[in-house]
This record gives sequence, structure tokens and C-alpha cells, in this order.
Amino acid sequence: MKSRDEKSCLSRLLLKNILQRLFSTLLLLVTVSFFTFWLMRATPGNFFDSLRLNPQISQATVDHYEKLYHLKDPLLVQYGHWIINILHGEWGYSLYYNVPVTHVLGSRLWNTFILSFASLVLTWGIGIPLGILGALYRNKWCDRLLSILSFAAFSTPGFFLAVLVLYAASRWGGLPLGGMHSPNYDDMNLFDKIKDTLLHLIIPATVLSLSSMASLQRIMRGNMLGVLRQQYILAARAKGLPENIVIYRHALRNAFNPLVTLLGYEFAALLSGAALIEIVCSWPGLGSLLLTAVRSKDVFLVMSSTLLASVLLIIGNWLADILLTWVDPRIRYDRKI
Amino acid sequence: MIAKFSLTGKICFWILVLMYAAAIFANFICPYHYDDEDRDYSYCPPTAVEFKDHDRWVHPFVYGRRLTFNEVHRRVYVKDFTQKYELHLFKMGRLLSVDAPGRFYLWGADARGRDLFSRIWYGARISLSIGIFGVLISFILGLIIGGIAGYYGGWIDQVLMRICEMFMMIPGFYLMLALRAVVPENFNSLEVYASVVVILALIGWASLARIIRGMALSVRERDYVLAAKTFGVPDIVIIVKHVLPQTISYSLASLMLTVSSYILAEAGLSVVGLGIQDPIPSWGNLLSDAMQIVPVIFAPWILLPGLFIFIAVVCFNVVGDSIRDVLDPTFNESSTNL
Amino acid sequence: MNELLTIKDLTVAVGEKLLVNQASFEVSQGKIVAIAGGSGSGKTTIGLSILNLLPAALRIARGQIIFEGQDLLRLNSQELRERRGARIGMVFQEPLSAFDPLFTIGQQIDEVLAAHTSMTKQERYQQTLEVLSQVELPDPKRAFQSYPHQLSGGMRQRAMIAQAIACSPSLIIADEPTSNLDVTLQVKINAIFKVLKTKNISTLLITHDLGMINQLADEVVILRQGNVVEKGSASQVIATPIDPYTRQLVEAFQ
Repeated sequence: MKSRDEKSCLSRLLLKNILQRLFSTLLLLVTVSFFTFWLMRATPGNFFDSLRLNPQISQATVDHYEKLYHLKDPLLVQYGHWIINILHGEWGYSLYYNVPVTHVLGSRLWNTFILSFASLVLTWGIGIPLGILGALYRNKWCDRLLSILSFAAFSTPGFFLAVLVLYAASRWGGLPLGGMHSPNYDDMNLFDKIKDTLLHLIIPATVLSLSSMASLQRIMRGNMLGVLRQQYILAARAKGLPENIVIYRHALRNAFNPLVTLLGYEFAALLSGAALIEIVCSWPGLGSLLLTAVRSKDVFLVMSSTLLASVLLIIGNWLADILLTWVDPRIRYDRKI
Repeated sequence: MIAKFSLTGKICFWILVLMYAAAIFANFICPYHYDDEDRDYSYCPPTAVEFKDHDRWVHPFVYGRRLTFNEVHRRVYVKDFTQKYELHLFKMGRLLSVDAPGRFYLWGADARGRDLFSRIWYGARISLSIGIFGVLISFILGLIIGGIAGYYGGWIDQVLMRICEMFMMIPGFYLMLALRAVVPENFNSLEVYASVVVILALIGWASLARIIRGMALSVRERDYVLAAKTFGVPDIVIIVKHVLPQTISYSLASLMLTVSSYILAEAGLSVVGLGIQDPIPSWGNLLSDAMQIVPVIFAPWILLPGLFIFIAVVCFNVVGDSIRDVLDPTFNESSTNL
Repeated sequence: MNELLTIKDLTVAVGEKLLVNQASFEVSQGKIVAIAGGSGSGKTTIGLSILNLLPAALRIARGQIIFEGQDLLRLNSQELRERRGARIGMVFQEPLSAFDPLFTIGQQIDEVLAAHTSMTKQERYQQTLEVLSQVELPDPKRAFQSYPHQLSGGMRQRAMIAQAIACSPSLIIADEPTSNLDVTLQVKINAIFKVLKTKNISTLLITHDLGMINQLADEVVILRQGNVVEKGSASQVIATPIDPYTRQLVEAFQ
């Protein structure tokens, strides 16, 4: 139905939007990487001194890394080389694990991803409906109860809640107390492996999502109530639309849309919160890796984990931005960056 | 303004006042110094105050405790009826105390026999103050950068906002740990405290700056600002006299919420051993004992500091919400109207 | 009596305060009846009462609203819904806020048809284009695909009227339809209402604009603080107002 001209004009606009966002994303990546790099160089003590002192590492390895990182060159040049190395997959050497950093990051990244993804699903899958519930049954007992629970949930330190839940689990059994796999994981078939991982996922994912679920519920409820006061809802009812279309097509979409902007910030909180929960629940992810790295002053590992986490966040935000553009026609066709 | 809070707001405000008072007067209200160990009483449960001796009302006292094994060969503390220690009031500058070698544990003891009650309130000094100082620095940073960015707009705004975004794009916990890695190992406790304050300030200033920038942007279009400009008032004076005061009252609510997030952040840092170090207590590092399941099962009272973190965070959040309700009642339905 | 709409003794209260006090008037087939008064006079309240869309705090204390032979206040919600949009259409003052910003105009008009008729998708599309051209939108197809914010104020208001007449109702309630438009657009909208009249669609025009009343209305009901102070033929009331309040209004308009 759209004319050819219109279609190409619209898609050009959309493309322009995406490209603009891509550009600022790249800019952000560069800035963050430089900051991380600068931080790394600011760490007191020459990293390579400790490398050299370590009898397990051969002189050849030390020489190799020294050359790779051009320590004698000015800062910017070093940064340049560091970036090039990163892009080539050379992320440095881990003191603690005695292997190149990349060997450690890969699986940990995946584990954190699983945890974060599960938490996201729980947060949005439960938070949104509960928010709608709170708005529709406003001030009735279930709304008040939800309100109190939500408030309590997002005021509790995540790690504390994790400990409480683990304590309860240890008392009443049923769920594994931390870690990601049971001891006999490697002997299981694929289906059992998945089941095992899911079981181990329950406590950390639930605790992790609890506070974001709570805040999302509050926000969704607030949005819903705000939207229900709008003129177009009155107009929709005046048109004689069935009530569930008024609520679930018009009110819900309008209440939900602004939340997509939150998705970006949600990633930040998610990655951050996941780190601590990982530590408490012994979930072998990026966060617990970072902790080990900091404790052992494993500089390359610290900076690589930080950089990786930031990259994830930036990409996540970029995707959330695109999602928002797609979902809100006012932004899609008219807004400049 | 406090008079205009809802009931919950007022309650929370006074709870906070009480907590800060307790922290300030910790060396009065606590029976022991935070460092006072007694390894014979490791993980001793809370000591009951006895009011009756053989069914006669007497001056309150406590029994000593002895470590022994119960029927299932578990280690328990039992009352030692041969040892009685009177509870003293106002002795040696402390509200309540008992003579050595008796020990009075209101809320139980930790692994080294240190009184948890005392450690919690000495710890309150750290946990409750770190958030405040961190927020102060964040706020100043945010005011300066946000104010300048919002007021001048243009490329200054763009550059400053990119820097803000960069800080917001590094997940808080990771940034915290990365910054912590930069802190030299040989810092004494005061220097560690200062570093933690600075680290906290650095993770949160960016979102404050954005909020302030938004407000500055809207304020600068107001008529009185334009009028001041036509009179040739220098920019900096306009910013300080007109733009900033407006932003401060609206920032107040955000500040409260930031304090609560900093309290949580410090707790998170300390609980993994990277914040305030032993023996100086902070609620976070008190909880680090509780991160293992076994001590928790044996001595569940070591979870108490978590309760106080929770209370402090809830109270700050409620007060923040209440401030926002007072200043801007049109905002989305407050969830604290319980 | 072939009145389309009869309001008898309508009384609307919020708490103890009366917003509308025993209002009574009639709207005949094919006529434009205006409800005039200052702000706070209760005119919008009457309009919303007809469709039973008052905010929760307000309640209809007594009265009857008889439309096409049935008292609307005695109907259950299902029966009421069948009439809203289908037999009675409503036009709101601010079209930008009366349309859902996330759906196109076409989708929103299609909704009304889908809810009240059994037309197929194709038929609904044709009907939508039909009403969009009836309100003299220059490019109905384009309007169909547009989002509310993409149209100008005047086009939006016309689209809203199109939405209201989509199911060929017998009555339109128009709440300050031109207050937010400039004079040239007002003239265009006035013309549309005149056209509706020729199709035998009655309009209940809620407005404070005596000029519009003078041009459009057949009859007028003057409301002051919830009370009907005067009613009658529009030209007569404006020429020779009896009630002192009406006189004030007319003088202000001259």
C-alpha cells in the first residue's frame, strides 16, 4: 500500500538512524577501552616485574609480551597496539591462571550470559504482568501487598538475599547450593545436562531478578496508571471497544514502550548485580572471574574482564536503542539523535 | 519539609536519625570496642539477661558460658551457673557492661568472640558515613559537569555527556573492582576509606550529572535567566545564583536514592574483602563471615548486619520518595503511600 | 415525540457538590443542539454522562437519558458498549491526545468498525477511506497510514470526526471541537458539521463559542454552574436573551 518512494524514504530514515547510533556506539567503545587501558597502566607496580619474577614463566614468554605491548613507547602508541592486539584476539596473559586471558574469558562469558539472560526473562516475564495487576487492582489488597514486597525486594542487598535463600535451601533441601554443575555433570546426557544447569540456575537467577523485577513492577504500574488517565483511553472506551482491547492493546502498549529505554540501563544493573551474586552462589561467570583477578592483582585479567563487560553493555544498549526506534513510531520517523 | 512527609516517610526519617545517633554515640551505647576479642567465646549466642536468681528478683546479671557438646555431638554453649556477672549501668563510659572475664553479647559473638552488637554500631559509622561522603563528591562533580553541560549546550554538552555515558557504560561493580585494583596495597585504613569514598563517587556521578544537566537545560530557557543575560550578568554568576538553586531541591530526592545505592555498593565491595578491611567493621565486611553456609547455620545472628543494611536502604529510599512527593506531587503514583 | 435524545432531570454530583443540577433538554433527529456555558458549567459532564464515561469520583444521582427509546442509565455495560461508537459517536477537544500515538489513524478507525460491524477487512478498509474522504481530507490513503503526530491539527480533527461517523451513528457528541484550531480551520470544521446534518446525523455541540453556535446550531441550551438557565431556538436566544447570564454571554460575544 505504501508507494515505492515512501518506502525507500522511510527505510533511508531508519537506516540513517541506525548508522548514527552505530557511530556513537563505536565512539563509546573507543572511549571505554581507552579509559580501561589508562587504568591498567595506572596500576602501581610494573606488571612485567611480577611476570619476570614468576619462575613458572619462561624468559621467552616475558620477552614476547614485552615486545607485544611496546612498553617503552608513549601512552597513545601503547594504546594503539593494545587495541590492535585485542582485535587480533590477543588479550594478554593471566598471572593467576597461567594461561592467556582468552582461554579463561570464553566460558566465563557464556556462563554470565546464561545467568543474565535467565534473569532478564524472569524480570520481564513476571515484572510486567505484576505491574499491570497492580495498576488494574490499584489500592486493593493485592496491589498493596505487591507494593510492599517490591519495595522490600529492591532494597535488600542482592548478595544478602542470596545468602538467605541459600540458607533456606540448605535447611529445606531441594535445590543445589551453588556452583553451576553437579559433580557428575560430565557423565550426563545432553538432556540431563540441561536440566542440571537449569536447577543450578534457579537460585542465582531468581535472586538476581528479584530486585529488578520489583523496580520494573513499580514502574510498569506507574506507567499503566498514568496511561489509563490519558484522553485516548477515554476515547477508546467512547468508541465502544471491548474493555480488554482498551487495556491490552492501547493501555499496555503505551505503558510498555517507555520501558524499552530502561532496557539499556537494565543491562548495566544486570551485569553489575550478576557479578556479586555469582560470587555468593559460586557461579563461574565473568564477575567471579573479576573478583579472583582483583584479589590476585592479575592486571590483564582485571582489565580484560572490565573491558568485556563494558563491550557487552554497550552492545546491549545499542540493541535496546534500535528496539526503541522500531517500537515507537514517533521516534522512528521524526527524531534526530 | 519533614512535616509534610507521609507517615511512612516520617517514620523512616526518624529511624535514620536514630541510626546515625547510635553510630555517633557508639562508644557510649556499645559494651565493647569493636576490636575486643575473646576467643573462648567464638560464635557465642546472645547472652540472656537474668532478672531472677532462684526465683528472687535481683539486680540484672548474666551467666558465664561454657562450650560443650550436646547429645548429638554438636558444639553448643551452655550457661555456667557458677559464674555470675552483674550488669553495670554507666560504668567506665559505657551504657551497659559486665566485668571481665564475663562477656555480655546482646546479639551474639562472631568467630573471634567480638560482640556483634558493638561491631554493628561501630560499623554503622563507616557504612552510614561512606554513603554520605560519596554522594557529596558525586553531587559536586555532577553539579559542576551537569550544570556546565546543560547551561552551555552545544559541543561542550556533547563532549561532557559522552564522558558521562562512558562512565555509565561500565557496569558499576566492574568499575568498582577495576578502580580498586588501582589502589596501592599498603594504604592504611583511613586511606582505604578515602579510596572507597572516591570509588563510590566515581561510579555514581554520571547519572547525577545527567539529571542535573536536564534540569539546567530547562532552567536556562526561563525568562529570568534570559533577563539576567541581557543585563550582562556574567555566566558563572547566573549559573550559581539562578540555575543551581533550582536544581538542588529537585536533586535532593535523587541524592537520597543515590545514598542508598552507595550503601549497597560499599557493602558489596566489603563483603568480598575489597572494601574496608578487618578489624575495622563495616556492615559489609561483617557480612563476609556470613557468606559461607556453615557459620550461618551455626550462628545465624551473623546475618544481622544485613538486616541493618536493608533498613537503612529502605529508609533512604522512602525518604527520597517522600521528598519527591513533597516537591513534585504530580510525579507517578508514589509507592510509599502504604 | 420523535426526539432522538431526551435528557430529563439529569443530576451529577461529586461528593456533596452538584456539577449538573436537574438538566433537561431534547435533541431531535437531524438537528444540531448546542450546550453553551462558561468553564465549569457542567457541559462536558453532560456529554460524558450520556456515554456513561464519567470519572470514578462522579456519580449520576438521578435523571434519565433516553436515546432511541431506551434509558441509557439503565443499560448494562455490554448494551452500552454496543451503542458507543456505533449509535453515538464522540469527538474530543484535543485530537492529538484523543488518538493513541502508537497506532495509525487507519488502524484506529478500523477498530471501531471491527468492534461494531461484521464487515470483512477489505470492506472496513473501503469504509474507512470513505469516511476519511467525507471529512474532506485531501489524501485519504495517506491519512490512513499516518500516525496521529504526522498530521496537522486540522487534519487530525477531521480524522476524529471521520472516526466518529464511521459506523453511521445517529448522534455525534462534539466536545469543543474547534477550540484548539485557528479560524480558517474552524470554518472548515463547521462546514463538515453542516454536511452531517444533511445526512440526518444529529450533533450535540458542547462549546463556549457563541459564534459557532450562531452559525451552526438549531437550538441552544445555556448552562450556568450546572443549571439550565435558558433554552430554545439558537437564533432567538442569541437575539433576545431572557436570562441575565445569557445576556452576559451574548454581550461578551457581540
